Amino acid sequence: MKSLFSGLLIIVSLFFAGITVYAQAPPPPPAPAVPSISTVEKGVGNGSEQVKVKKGAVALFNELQSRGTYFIKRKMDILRDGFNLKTFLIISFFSLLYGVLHTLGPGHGKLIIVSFFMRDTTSRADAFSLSVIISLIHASGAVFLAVLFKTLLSTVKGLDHLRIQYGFTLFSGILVFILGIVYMIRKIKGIDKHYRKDEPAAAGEIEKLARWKRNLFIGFSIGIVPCPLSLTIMMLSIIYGIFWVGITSVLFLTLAMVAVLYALSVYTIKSRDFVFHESESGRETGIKHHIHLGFEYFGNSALILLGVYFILKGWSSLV
Amino acid sequence: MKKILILLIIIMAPVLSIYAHPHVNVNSYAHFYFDKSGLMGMYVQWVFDPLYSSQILYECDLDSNGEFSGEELAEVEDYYFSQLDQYNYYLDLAVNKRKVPLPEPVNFNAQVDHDDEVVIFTFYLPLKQEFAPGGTRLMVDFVDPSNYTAFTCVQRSLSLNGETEKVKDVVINRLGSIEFTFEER
Repeated sequence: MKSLFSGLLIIVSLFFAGITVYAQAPPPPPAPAVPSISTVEKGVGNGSEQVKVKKGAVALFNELQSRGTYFIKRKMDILRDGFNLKTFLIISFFSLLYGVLHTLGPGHGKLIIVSFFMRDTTSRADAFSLSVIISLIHASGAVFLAVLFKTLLSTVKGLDHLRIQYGFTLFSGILVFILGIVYMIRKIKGIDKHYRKDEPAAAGEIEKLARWKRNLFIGFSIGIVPCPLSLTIMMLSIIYGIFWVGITSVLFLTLAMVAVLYALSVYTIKSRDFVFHESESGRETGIKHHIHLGFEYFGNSALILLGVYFILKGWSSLV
Repeated sequence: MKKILILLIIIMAPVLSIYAHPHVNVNSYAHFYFDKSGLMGMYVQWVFDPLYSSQILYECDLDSNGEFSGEELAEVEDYYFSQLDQYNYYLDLAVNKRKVPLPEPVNFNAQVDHDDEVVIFTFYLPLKQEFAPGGTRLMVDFVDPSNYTAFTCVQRSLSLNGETEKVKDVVINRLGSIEFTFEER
């Protein structure tokens, strides 16, 4: 009985002591003075005079892209409510055009491709296979990730989506960096293959399987980062229950990307051939020889630097 | 030789596009509030593109009524806003050409515009910049360093609330920055 009374006394004392301490805790800081904003204003209020408005090419590109996404969203809204052949064809054709604009804009590994094709031992067959590999991996990664985000990774929300994508950027950067280092070492050691203009002769020097593996590795390194545009379109199509519309749109975006990358690769090969054709006959001397070497070292250096850039970008966004 | 140089330049052109391109487009607005002492603060509004807005709605509008309730608003803030502190809330502030630390945003709100089906974020920044003789030059820059999000300032004039201020030399860059000088009237 005595021990029970003592225990109760202790508990009550602690309770009142706690209240006393809490009452003396410093009050929370006052909330800052926040003016009310009762309505959402899409326009502007009382303006001031003499306003200088600056625009530029980048702002124009961003605005065009923004209008493109508005257009795609509106068409998908129509298809969500029921199939409409006209709308379906419009969105498919628009995806093709939008894909060209999108691929021509910043990113999509264009610099890496140019760097690679400035080297020798590449041909138009490589240009085609690389364009297809890069585009397919880039798009299919997005489709796969969209399905994951809506199923197994459905608890991943908000900016965590971005972190996962930047993880791929980091991985891609590591692969591109390794590629650049390997090519640079081979070049410095002199074990790199020499330039040959004729494609069959070049193919004879490297086995076709090894060539295919090389293209697959390079395509994987560049294309592994999932296409965010395709990802967004796929996620919306899954939300709307029109998965097939998303797949079709992504397919046309991919076709556009193949076309642009192939055109760029072929142009680079032609330019390289134009500059280097004299090396075959051994007539390449003086400044042309130095330009030739410069191209090769630039290509390898660009791969290394791009790899470092993507590693830093991916890492800084993840941490 | 000329041909080679021209070809070199054309081949190097992709270097200009090394940076990634944005995938989220935001129309940004800034509304500035003045009192007797100076610039109190500003409300910032971000109007997201419809594709990104759909994602926010799908993940946070749990009852699918097109509005954010208290709990849903907290989710939106947790998943889509609070984490932006590591990116300085995509905002750079400079006073008289010197960068200043960004105050903590308060009064966050998220609404849905049903006409365009877009999500709009609103938050307040208590800037507390007093009037100074000769005027104070303020620059607000909406920028995502990773370039994943592109900000467009669609305002063509300043939005002001107050009666004690005078503004001049206003420059609005569509690429996401607003600059002006303010002083006491």
